[in-house]
Amino acid sequence: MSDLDSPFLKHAVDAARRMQASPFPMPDLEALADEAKHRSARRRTVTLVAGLALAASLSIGTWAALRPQPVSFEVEGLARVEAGLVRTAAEQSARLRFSEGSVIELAEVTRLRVIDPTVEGVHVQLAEGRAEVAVVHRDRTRWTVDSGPFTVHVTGTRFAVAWNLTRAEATVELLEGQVTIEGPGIAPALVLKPGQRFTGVVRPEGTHVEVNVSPATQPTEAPPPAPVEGVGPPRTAASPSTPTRAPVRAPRTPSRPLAGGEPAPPNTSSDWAAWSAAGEFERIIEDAQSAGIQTALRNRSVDDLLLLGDAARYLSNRRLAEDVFEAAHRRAGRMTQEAAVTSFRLGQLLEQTSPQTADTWYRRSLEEAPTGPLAAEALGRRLLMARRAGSADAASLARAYLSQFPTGAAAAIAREMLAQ
Amino acid sequence: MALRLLADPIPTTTERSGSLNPLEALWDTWGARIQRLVQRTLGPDQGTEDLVHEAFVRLLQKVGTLRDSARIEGFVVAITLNVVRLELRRRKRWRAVAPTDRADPSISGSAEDAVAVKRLFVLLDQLEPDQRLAFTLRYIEQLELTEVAEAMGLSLATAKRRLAEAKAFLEEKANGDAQLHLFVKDPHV
Repeated sequence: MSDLDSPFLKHAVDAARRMQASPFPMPDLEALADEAKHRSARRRTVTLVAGLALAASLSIGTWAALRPQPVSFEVEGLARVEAGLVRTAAEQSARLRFSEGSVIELAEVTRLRVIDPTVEGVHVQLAEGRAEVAVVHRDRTRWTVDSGPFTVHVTGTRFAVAWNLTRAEATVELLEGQVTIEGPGIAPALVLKPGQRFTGVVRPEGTHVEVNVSPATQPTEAPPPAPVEGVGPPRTAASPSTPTRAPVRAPRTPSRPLAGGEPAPPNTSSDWAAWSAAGEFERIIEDAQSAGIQTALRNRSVDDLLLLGDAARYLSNRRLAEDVFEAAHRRAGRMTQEAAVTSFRLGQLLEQTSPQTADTWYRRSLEEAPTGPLAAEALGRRLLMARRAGSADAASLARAYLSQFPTGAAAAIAREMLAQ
Repeated sequence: MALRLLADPIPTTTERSGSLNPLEALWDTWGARIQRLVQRTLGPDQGTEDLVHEAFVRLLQKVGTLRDSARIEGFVVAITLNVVRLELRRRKRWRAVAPTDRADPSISGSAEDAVAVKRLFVLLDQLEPDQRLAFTLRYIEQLELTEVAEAMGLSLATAKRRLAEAKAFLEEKANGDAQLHLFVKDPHV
């Protein structure tokens, strides 16, 4: 490396390289973080003023050169990539990282095509296999994910989607946020809530579609749905022919009776659901605040509290999110899917700041719904946390995960841990 | 607040350090790197701790804009070098009106090494900031030329030119530096 001619200079450089200053003690990180926050706030103010001045002077040509760039993505892991088609083989997995922050994890034997990455969002098509999608909420982000003939419309959310080519079966399991699903046999579009699972089967004749939504309040062993003839109205719980399934779009009522004498909240549940689907999280919080947060915690349904908690979480209002999820957990019945979902949310919320408490919530979620739609995710989170902490429980969690969810999203990690 | 600053781009950092607090994880992973970079470019002076903190604050401010977590090292280096470059310019202005002697560096090693390091940074003080950064990144940090160019935000040709200017100046000065001749053994002798 050193091509220095002067022996004196070379000696000095070598000595400088060898110098080992004592490492500085860890500073007051919270104080530095506060400083960063205040500077960012000041910069936003300055940027706003400068932006107004700039907007007045920019020509259309200059604006065109400065307009936002299309979304791009990179592929990590074992996968073949050809012209937007990413495919994994058996025992392979891959991760697509998009430039706007969203991530798609591909399970083994999966083919996914990124069709249309634009400034506003991305259109991907799951041709086969299973993917876990985490879309970062942006004001104008529009994401669509095709799973067979079904299309999932996304704002900011996390869900698992699968398309079984052999059985012509699409499944969508919503972990966070809200998505709408369109496709044959679904009119109007379905709105899926956290903890719900959508299954759509295209029968060989091509005109028969079965649509099933397993809501969080339903036992997982609900009987399989009957086929829906033709491309008719959606087979949801709103339909009288499927009384065992919960409503998908029907107006919801609070899970617990309103307290006597309490005024009814000014907006209906469907308002919050619609606002959440549109990414208007501030509006949900403002609405809750206008009626009083405590009133909302007492009177709103558990579903609504989950929407409110998620909105607070998306807006980094951790304290409000924790209050809301804890209230939702108290309101949910013991050992119900609703309780499991709120426990899971609390685990997610506290994972970074209080890992032990988060682990307790994940464990509770598993106890409340051991075969629920979030069980694999909860056990997976426990496994990853134990691995990061170097916990002695990591191996037993890995074995438990593989035994219960051998094809789950964390299966490859569990195998890797046990192989070490 | 910290969680918001350390949103999505950081999980690889958190996993790498083993810490579950993202703020601590970020410091655990990059604090020592920032310190080393500041001290190797500015010398083991007093006052570098403030600059390390300044670089870390800027990292917290900007880490949310990082789109690809795999690029975080280059991101950290670039932010740190910007802080160092501003400090070098500030010192250069002050030296013009109030020249001061460089304090003895508190470093480990022999007395000969201490003199050599002190004299080296006295000579480096006479360079333009970009010449100095190019030299220290190439020879003390031992980065490849392309890495030096990328870290400094320069073209490869410009980085080479700055390095050649710095090297020519320092070779000449080092060979004529009485203290280096007095205290540092000539390996050819």
